[in-house]
Amino acid sequence: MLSINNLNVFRGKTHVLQDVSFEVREGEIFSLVGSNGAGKTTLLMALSGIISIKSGTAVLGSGPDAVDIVNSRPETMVRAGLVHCPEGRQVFARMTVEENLRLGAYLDNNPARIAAHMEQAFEMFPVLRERRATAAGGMSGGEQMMLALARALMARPKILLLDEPSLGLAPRITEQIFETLDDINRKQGVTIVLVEQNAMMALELASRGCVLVNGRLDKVSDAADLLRDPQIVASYLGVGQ
Amino acid sequence: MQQMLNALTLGSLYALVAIGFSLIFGVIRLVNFAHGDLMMIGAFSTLGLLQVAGPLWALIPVLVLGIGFLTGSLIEKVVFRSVRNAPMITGFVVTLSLSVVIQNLGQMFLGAQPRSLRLPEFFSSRVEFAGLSMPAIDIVIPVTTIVLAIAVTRFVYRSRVGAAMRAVSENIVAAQLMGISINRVVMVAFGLGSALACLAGFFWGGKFGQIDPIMGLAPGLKAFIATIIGGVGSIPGAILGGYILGFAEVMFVGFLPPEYASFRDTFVFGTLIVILLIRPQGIFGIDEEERA
Repeated sequence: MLSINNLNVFRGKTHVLQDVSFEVREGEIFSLVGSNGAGKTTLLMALSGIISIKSGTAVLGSGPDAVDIVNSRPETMVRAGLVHCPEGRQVFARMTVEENLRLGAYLDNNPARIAAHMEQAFEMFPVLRERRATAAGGMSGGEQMMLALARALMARPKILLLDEPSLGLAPRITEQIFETLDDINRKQGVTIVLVEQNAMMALELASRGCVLVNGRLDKVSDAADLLRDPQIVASYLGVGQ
Repeated sequence: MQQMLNALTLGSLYALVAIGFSLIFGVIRLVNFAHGDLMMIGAFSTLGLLQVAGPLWALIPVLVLGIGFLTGSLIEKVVFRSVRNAPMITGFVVTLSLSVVIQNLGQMFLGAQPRSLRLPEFFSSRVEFAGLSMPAIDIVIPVTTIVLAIAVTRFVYRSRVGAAMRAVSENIVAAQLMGISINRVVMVAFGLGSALACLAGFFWGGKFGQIDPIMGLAPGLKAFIATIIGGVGSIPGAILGGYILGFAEVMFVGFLPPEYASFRDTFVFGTLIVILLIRPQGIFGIDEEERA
């Protein structure tokens, strides 16, 4: 689904990602683990075409439909089915919930389909229907997260990149979001790449994952193995506190 | 009453130019000091078109809008695109330089002497309205401006591309993640804003009868001020700001003793300072958090 080989990405003069290689398989939830500054967000930004890639290859899909990520603009990636739900949610605060959702379907020009997708979003998160005409900036963090997720799903992604969905949320809301992610993955077959500070929750949800340390790939493995790895347990899973 | 009408006409012209300032600033946070010069381009295009249009003169305003759209989007592509991610001050200096370049090129190729511009008779024919007699252009300008102002506002707040413009204005990264092409949105904003400025040039030349290569400087500056009064980035604000400025200018000329009238800008700009002291973000301005 997503093949990354020897990826190098700079931000300004800082060499953030160094020779990163891994693969995400179709239909799985893949978790990116690493401490702050390890390059997780940069990796997602590079994959969605926001930050340019210095060298290496990154390909979405395979065969004749494969999309070269390295030379693609963000709109090409969205059109190809790769949708990125960014860190801090980044909803359009001055626009209404409905306008935010419509922007999620920006590249879709079939009004009937957009309406159907919006209805599904409202069924998934009923609070968004109530808040339909409210400016997104006035909603709580949890509601904004639901909106950000629903907005990303409006584009009907094949692969969803999700950056820190639990950031600043109450545990109960986080649980609800994770249940929804599980649903999206199982029922709609959406592949998910998950960056999450709560590594324990992320690895329990994921089938596989990798660990980034200072911009380099440390391990790629099944999530169950990573959860058992004593070094990972000590560094990221907060056991022993 | 005649004064009110003058104020309405002048305010309309400022509003037409101010809308463009606001559109352009809204999407890329660029204060485009070359924006006023689009008026000059519109006015000289009118002069040229009048020579060839003959009985088809009614098409001239439409063509002027088209020329404005093309010129604006071309300028953006050639000059501004490469400095889009540069610090704000760089963009500022580039627009200022471009303004000087356009004015000087105009003087080189069109001559520095003012030329007279005479629109077809329709615009100067007298119209009786509410017991007043006025040239048709004094009706055409406010009516056209109001129609276009409503159209642009509806476009920005109701259409899909308008929503994309507002999204870019709020959060450029998130907008890109929706699949919005920044280049296209910026092109539309520049094109639309420049088209309105060119049309303002057509009206300005038609109303005052004289055009020259630096004619865009003063009204451009005033329209910029109108944008600030209204609240930068707000379309309704730009329109309101244009009318406030137009009315202030005409009223000060009307009510000040004649020996002060030629210093009207002192009072106009003084009023501006007072408004901004009371409401620093402008009338419709929003306290802006730093954009992502």
